[in-house]
Amino acid sequence: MRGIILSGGAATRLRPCTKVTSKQLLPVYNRPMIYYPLNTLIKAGIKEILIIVAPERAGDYLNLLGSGKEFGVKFTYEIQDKPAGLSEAYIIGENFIDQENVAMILGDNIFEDDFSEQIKKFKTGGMVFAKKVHDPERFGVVKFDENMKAIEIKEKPQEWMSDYVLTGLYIFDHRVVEIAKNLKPSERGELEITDIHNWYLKKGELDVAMVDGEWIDAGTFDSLFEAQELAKNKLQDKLII
Amino acid sequence: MKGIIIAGGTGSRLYPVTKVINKHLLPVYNKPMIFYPIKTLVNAGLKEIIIVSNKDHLDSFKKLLTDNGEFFGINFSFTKQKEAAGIADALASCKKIVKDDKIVVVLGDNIFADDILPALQKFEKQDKGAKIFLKEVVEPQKYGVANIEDDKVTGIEEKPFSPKSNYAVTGLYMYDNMVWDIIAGLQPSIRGELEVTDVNNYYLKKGGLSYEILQKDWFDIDTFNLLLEANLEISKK
Repeated sequence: MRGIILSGGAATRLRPCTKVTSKQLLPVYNRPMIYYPLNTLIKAGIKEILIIVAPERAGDYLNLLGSGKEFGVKFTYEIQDKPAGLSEAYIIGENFIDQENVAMILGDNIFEDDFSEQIKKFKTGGMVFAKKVHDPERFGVVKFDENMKAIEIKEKPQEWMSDYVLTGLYIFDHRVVEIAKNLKPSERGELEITDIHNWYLKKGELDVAMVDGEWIDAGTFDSLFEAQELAKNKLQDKLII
Repeated sequence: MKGIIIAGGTGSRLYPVTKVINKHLLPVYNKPMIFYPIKTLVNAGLKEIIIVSNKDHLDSFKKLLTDNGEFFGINFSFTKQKEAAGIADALASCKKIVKDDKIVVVLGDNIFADDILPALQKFEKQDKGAKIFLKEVVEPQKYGVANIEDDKVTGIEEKPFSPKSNYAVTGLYMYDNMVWDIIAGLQPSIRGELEVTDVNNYYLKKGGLSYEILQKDWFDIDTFNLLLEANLEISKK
C-alpha cells in the first residue's frame, strides 16, 4: 500500500493567514496540520508517501518534512500547478502508484479514529469512510438503503438526500489511475473524486465504512479551532510523529 | 511617535510548527498573530510602524502587510535583526528610520485588549524617559516583575524566586530618543543578548520610568497552550 497526501490549494477561506503559508502547515495545537494525516498513514504501516503541494509552498514542505527518514518512511513530492480537483492527485501520482493499492488523505482532514486495520486488510476495489454531519451540502453525500448499503453518491447536492458525507480518506486499487485519466471535468471544471467513487460503486466494488470518532475538515477558522481542541484533548497520546 | 514591532526569534518553543513559519505569522483565531500588536498601535493613532524580523522571514512580513486593506493608510517599514542578539539589539536596527521621534515598542507575540491611546497621550506630554505597562498576574515568578513603592517603580527583577509584587512587565514599552544611546552602552547579558530589561533599568536609575497598569486581557504567547488559550478568548469576541 502506498500513501498520498494532497496538500495543495489556495485556502482563500483562511486569508489572511494563508497569504504567506500553506493551510496544511498551520498549527493544529502543537503540530503542523499535515502531521495528523501523516500519522494516520504511518501508523497503518505505509512506508512510501507522496505529498502533493502547490508550487509556491514546495520549499516549505521540503524544509519541514525532508526525506521522511526522521519518521522512518520515504517521502516523494509532486507539484500540483493549480487545483483541478481531488481526482487529479491520481494522475499526478501515476508513476508513484504503479501497480500498488493507494490510500489518499486530504492534508486538512483530521481523524480521531485509527484506520490501520482497514488499510492493512484492504485487497481490491475501493473503500471510503462516511460520517453523519449537520451540513451535508458542503461535501460529497452518500445515500444508503435500509440495509445501510450505499446506493448513491453525489458531490454537494442542492437538494437534501442524506446526512452522511464522505470524509477525505480514500483507499483504491491501482485501477484508480486509469479511471482518473478518463474522467471529464465537472461543471465547476474539476476532476471530481465523486466520479471515481461512483465508478467503483457501479461495479459493486465500493466498501463504505463508518467513521466512529471525530472528524474535522479544517477549512475555516472555526473548524481549525475545533481541530485544535480535538488535537489537544483527544489526540496527543495517539500520535506517533 | 513611531511604532516598532519586534517579530524575530526562532520560536523554538513552538517547534516543529515554527520550522517553516515565523511564530508571529501563526494564526490567532482568524488573523496572523502580528495583526494584534499592529492593531494596538493603529488604534492608538500611529501611522508609521517598523517591523523587525530575521532575514529569512522579512519577505513574508512584507508580502503580508504591503497593500493590506486592513491597515489602510499605515506606512510600514521593515528592518533586519541579527540572530539571537536580543530585543534591545533588534530595536537598534530602527534608529535610522525613527530619527528623533519617541517610540512605542510592542513584542510581536504580545496581545493586548487594552486601548493604549490614553497612555500614549500621557507619554507624549512626559518630557523625557520611558513608560512600561504592567499586568497583575497569578504567577509573577515567570515574568519580569516590577516593585512599586509610593506610586513609583523602584526595581524590576527578572523571574524572581520570591516576587515582591504580582505586577508582570509586559512586552509594551515607550521610549524617548535617549534609548539609542542607552542601547549603544549596553553589555550583553549572560545569555549573550542585549536585554530590554537593562534598558528599562537604566531609565529607572535615571528617574524617568513611568508605568501604567493594564486592566484587560494580556497574552504573551510562547507555548502551544497559550496559543490555544488566546485562540479561544479571541474567537469569543
